[in-house]
Amino acid sequence: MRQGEGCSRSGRRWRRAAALLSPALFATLTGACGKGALDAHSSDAMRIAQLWWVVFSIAGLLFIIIMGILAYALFHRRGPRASTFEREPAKATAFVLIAGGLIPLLILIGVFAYSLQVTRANTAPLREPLRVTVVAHDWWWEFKYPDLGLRTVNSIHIPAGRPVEFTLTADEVIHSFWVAQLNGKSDAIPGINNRLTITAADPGTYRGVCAEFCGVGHLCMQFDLVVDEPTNFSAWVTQVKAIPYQQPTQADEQYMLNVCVNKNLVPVCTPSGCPDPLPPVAGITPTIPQFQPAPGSPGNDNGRP
Amino acid sequence: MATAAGRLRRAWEAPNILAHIFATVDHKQIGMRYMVTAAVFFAEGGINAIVMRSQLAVPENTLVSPNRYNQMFTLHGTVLIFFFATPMVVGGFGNYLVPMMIGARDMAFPRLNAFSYWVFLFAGMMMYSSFFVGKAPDGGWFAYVPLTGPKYTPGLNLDVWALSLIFLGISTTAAAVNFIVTIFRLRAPGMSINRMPLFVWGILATSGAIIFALPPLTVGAALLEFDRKFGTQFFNPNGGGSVLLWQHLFWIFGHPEVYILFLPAVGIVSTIIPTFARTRLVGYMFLALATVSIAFISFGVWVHHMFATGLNPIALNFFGAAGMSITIPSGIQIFAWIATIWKGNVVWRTPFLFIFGFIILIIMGGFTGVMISLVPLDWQLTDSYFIVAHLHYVLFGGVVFPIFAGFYYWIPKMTGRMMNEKLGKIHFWLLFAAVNITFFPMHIAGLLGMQRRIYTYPSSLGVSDLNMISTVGAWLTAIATIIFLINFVHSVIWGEVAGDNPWHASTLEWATTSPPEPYNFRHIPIVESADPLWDAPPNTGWDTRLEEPAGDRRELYATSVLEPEPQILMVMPEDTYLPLLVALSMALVFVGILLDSMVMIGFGGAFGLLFAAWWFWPQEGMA
Ligand code: HEM
Ligand SMILES: [Cu+2]
Repeated sequence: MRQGEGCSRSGRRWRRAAALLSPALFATLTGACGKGALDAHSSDAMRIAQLWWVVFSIAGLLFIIIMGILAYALFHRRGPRASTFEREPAKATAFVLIAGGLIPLLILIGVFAYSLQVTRANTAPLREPLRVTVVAHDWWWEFKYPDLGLRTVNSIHIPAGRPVEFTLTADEVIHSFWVAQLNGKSDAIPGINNRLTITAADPGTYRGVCAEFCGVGHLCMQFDLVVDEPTNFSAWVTQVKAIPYQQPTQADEQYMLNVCVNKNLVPVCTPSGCPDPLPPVAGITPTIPQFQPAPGSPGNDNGRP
Repeated sequence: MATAAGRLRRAWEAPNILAHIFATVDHKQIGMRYMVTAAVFFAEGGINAIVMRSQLAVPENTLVSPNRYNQMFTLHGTVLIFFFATPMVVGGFGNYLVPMMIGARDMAFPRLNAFSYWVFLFAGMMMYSSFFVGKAPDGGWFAYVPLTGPKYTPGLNLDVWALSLIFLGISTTAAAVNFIVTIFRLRAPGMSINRMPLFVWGILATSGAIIFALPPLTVGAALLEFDRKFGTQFFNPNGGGSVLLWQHLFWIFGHPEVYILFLPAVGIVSTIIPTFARTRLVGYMFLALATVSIAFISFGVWVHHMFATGLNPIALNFFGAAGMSITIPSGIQIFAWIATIWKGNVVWRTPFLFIFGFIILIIMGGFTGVMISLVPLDWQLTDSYFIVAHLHYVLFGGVVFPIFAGFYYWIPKMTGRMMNEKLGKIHFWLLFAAVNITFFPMHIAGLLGMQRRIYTYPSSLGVSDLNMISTVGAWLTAIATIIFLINFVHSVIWGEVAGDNPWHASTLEWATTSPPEPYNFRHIPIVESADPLWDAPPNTGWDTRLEEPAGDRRELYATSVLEPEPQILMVMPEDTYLPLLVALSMALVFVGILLDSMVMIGFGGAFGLLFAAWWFWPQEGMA
């Protein structure tokens, strides 16, 4: 599988820049380089990752410089003569105002302008997006594709290359939709429709989570977001359409929670039922329609022990 | 002993041991009580942290249940912010130091001061006792609705949270008013506004911020209680309420709150640096202005806690920019400290080591702070472990390190004995390493996709090693803190005798004996510069110019605001049990509301009114 093998293309250039600036930090970061926000696989996440590397490089450089100044201030011994700052207080004041006020101001203006640009790009209107409505429940995700007449639970596929516009809401408490490799978070709030866009670059399986604390099942709201090649996506749509959708009942919710809290993972089921020899919870038969990935797309192993 | 000093002592001392314990209004006693109580809460919050970190040491761990974990991080956050950090810096250091630093004999309202302490103690007991009956709050320290509403969190857990915080708010507000009046009206003659120690500036700015920041929290918590107890729908989206209203109310309070902790801590730093750099502060005026302007700006940035809630991006960026603008006064502060250090020659004693650690950690936390004030970066970083890292760099580095510096620096004043340098240095280096070992890896875990407030994580996430490192760091932190405790006990028993001014510092508290007499100063000093003890050696220049009437009553001058001149001779109140009794009655009322007990509410209310009437009954001769 491609994900997790290395870091994204966009990241690499900046990573190299950062490497020159702060070898120690760089080593730490790449040593752990995995499937997070910096391993970006969509244009949206790449813009943010790039912003990160720019800001990180500037911060790293400034940190080293300030530590240098601090070390000098700490360890140099002034001789019998009074120090410059002692003799000329105006110089000390100028140093404080320039190094502490003016220089940060200029840098911040630049960084802020750059981040404005990223904000604008990541919230721009999309051309012919695939629309997906996400309803966060306690504690599972419902995904609706209004244009395709499709509904699923905890299972979401999108085609690579095509912009996708998510409309996020919740029916009980606040949750937050986060697929770190594809974009930042957006909260799913009862009574409010939020918008999040993803234009995925590479097919693969990406880890999605709920990022806003929502009670005892918070951790259980993990899901896989599968980015398919467009043809595989159509196949998936056909396959899923053949299975009647069943809204999980309260008993199902309880079942999912029990499975999750006992095993720390989301139950992964096939259309014909849940394969795991999970201890059945008193009198509840699982009826959660979940789907195995379409043939040809990367396997779904998220959350397996 | 019929000397003047003897008469003074008789007037200011508690008449007997019982009064000393339960009736004292001495700001030093109250300050030290705040410190000890807050330290106990620190230990409790720390134990929670250790348990949480142990649970997170390895993936898919089952040491604590999800419910227990949720209670733990909620209590940890709530208790450390509200019952440790704020009372420690404001109630503890503020009470102990402010009157002495401004050359006064007590706070302006000594009984109100005692009342603040008792309310704080009872509110904290109310909050923490819930843990032992398994009903601790579990909605996170910002308790977002609707999760915390009646439907999704039935049971007492969140009522405890809301009611304890409303109760505590009474204490904090009373303390803030007390500080403002004290600082405006009790400064020694000559201590004009531009000669006030920067710690006093910090407490002044913080007190102002408290007065404006607490009402939104109190209102929010009260509305939440209405929703929970009486079925109102303020925060229920299905009943026409607003979910985001809570977030606005909470963060309009919550962001200033972190500066309420931070400004006094910064004041401690600005006070300690000149002592150990052995030179006057560079940019005194800028530091004072920065303190005040940060307090102001902090009210305009609350939305940066809500970047992912889908508000209009233009609004988001406005608040992002506002948040970043705090960097400017903060940068000026940091470089003023560096310039001071540069100007002087550093003496590496333990208090200064902690300041040194503070500067490094706060710069780290400041950088990550700028990162999350950029809207798109925050979309990735918020609610992840990156935030947990950031907030601990600023809270642990920015507040706890100055607190430790303050302990090493002022404990000799409080107990009359020095702390051990060698143990202090071990404590510092171990703690400095431990804090970085604990919190640095969290940045990376967050970038790798680990969300906050989860009781475990899958091994497939690739954060297992990072978490193990963090857990080791947390245990080292605990060991370092135990070393401090050993040092403290050692110092109280075997410590070197400190003398009045062991550090050769410049501020007025060092002109008293160590520990100070109950009346602080035998004669009220006259101040002629921002560093009075460096410019006028004690007991020469200022002894004779203003002879304090040393009577059998507690007497003190009230002075004018900008250029203090003595205006009125005030007679200060004697020790009294009434603040304790009123606070107890109020605690009864709050517990009654919590348990729906009309009897408790009735008794508490009746006794409270009775005691309050007694307290406020006009007395002859009282100012
Ligand atoms: C040994 C030192 C400490 C350790 C190991 C530690 C550890 C932790 C852990 C594990 C969490 C929970 C993270 C999560 O599950 O999301 C947390 C949250 C938090 N900590 Fe600490 N902490 C320490 C000290 C402090 C101090 C001194 C303060 C404040 C002055 C503080 C304030 C907070 C706050 C406000 C939260 C957020 C709670 C919430 O999410 O509602 N911590 N800490
Ligand atoms: Cu959730």
